[in-house]
Amino acid sequence: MQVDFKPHMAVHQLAALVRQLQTDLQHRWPGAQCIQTHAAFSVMLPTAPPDPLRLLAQVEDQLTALLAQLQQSELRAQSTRCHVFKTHYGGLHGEDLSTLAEHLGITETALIQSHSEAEYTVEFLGFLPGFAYLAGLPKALHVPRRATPRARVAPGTLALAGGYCAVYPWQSPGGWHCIGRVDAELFDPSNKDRPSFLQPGDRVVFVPEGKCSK
Amino acid sequence: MLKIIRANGLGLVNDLGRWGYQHQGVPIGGVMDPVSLRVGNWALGNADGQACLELMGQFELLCSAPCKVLMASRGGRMLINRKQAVAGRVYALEVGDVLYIQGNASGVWSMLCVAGGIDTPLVLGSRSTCLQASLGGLGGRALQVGDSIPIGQVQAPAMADTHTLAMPTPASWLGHTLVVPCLPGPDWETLGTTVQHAFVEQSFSIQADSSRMGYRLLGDRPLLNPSSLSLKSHVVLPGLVQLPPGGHPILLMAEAQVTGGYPRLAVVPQCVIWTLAHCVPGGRLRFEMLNWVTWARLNTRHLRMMKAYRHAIECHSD
Repeated sequence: MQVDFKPHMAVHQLAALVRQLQTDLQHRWPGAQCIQTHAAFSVMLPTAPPDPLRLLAQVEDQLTALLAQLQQSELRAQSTRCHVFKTHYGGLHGEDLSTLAEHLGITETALIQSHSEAEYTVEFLGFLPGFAYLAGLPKALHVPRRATPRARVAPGTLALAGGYCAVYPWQSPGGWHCIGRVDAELFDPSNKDRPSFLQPGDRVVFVPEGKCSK
Repeated sequence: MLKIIRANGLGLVNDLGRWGYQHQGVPIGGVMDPVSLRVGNWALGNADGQACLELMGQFELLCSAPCKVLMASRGGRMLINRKQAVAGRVYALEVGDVLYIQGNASGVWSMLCVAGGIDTPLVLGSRSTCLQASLGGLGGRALQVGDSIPIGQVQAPAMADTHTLAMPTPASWLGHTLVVPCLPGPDWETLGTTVQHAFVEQSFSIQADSSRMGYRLLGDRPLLNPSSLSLKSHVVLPGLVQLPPGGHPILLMAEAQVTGGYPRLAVVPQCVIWTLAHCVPGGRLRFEMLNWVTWARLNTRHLRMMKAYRHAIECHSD
């Protein structure tokens, strides 16, 4: 069972709220999950309750109470983490850098500059374990996905599409434009609390480490 | 211990899935038919969610330490030392016994349960294999010839080996159009009546590029979305019917990713989705809308069925 909520607040505040709610809801409904997405979050329960409509009302009541309580105190207290990724733009992992620059009508250097000057925020995780959707891409770099997805994108590949950028934690098929490589361990299954290195609300900065030679 | 001596197809260690890490981008995963897995585990004296081998294709296993096994899935074929064995019955294997398992069109995924459960390491609370991220299962990969499958400690006695349980029956795709009950999804109203009518009035065929992540459905008329509903990503889960821009719905299955951006047309409830585990490309289905009252009736019937299994197993256990 799944219920959606769309409160109006900043990404890092939403992240703090979602973390708190998850803890609170689990006291009442074991196994309950709060999952953040784009400017919204969903509550999921492992099995269907006998009376979903009544439970929905109960969850909503609890959320309203928590929202009121949280907005006053904890949300302001939450600080956000910031990560700096040394980035190899272009090269083998960034094989779309030149075509993308050409498509946008700018030079590769301008594209790299534009991308690395922006600050990004982890909006939510999805697609693959530890795959973080990073919001904050400059408008000039907003492009749709590639017409044909690649069958294989290497782990560590930095790619962008649809107003987001992301680093692939695993080898996978992918339809985003690959522009570089980041060396970072993005998912650690032995960390039971937070296996994903990037968490909703975290800030990310990419620093160019000199364009890789081809 | 069981040793894989033949592996033609895809073999996975799977349990009821990796619940609780969806906010970290980890898919739930697990077996396609969790209902039969539960019943199979109960019959062997296991806890609900003990891991099994979920096999598609042709597999042969050699027993290297005595253990009790049970085929939890209907359909398919199992031979023990070349003699026919049936689903829903406990068999005690001796060292040197050879188990042959082959799926077919009415049982694509064979589920072999073992008393004590498959004992590969728990990763983030589950033994299910997540191939995309090499998590869980046996080294995060599919089973290969030569693999030794560790088996856990037996916790409780199994059902008597004189009794055969009629295991839960998944839907049969053969020869007719399946009727799949579903609830309206979160975007049902927004999608409008043209899409709604096109969704329930026609039947769909399962496309060849369907997988454990989802079944791609093709109807005669695409469900063209007039509202140009553009949705940012939201949480998705098994049972959800998504509507991509092309107008051909996707029914998400066990290994669905955790977020998606397509409008959410409908939801096939948990008490129904397991019956669709054994998809055959070319199979046809048609959707029928439920409301909360008819859903509650289906759900109650499902819970009653599970209770009846519990009871039957208790009656035939020492």
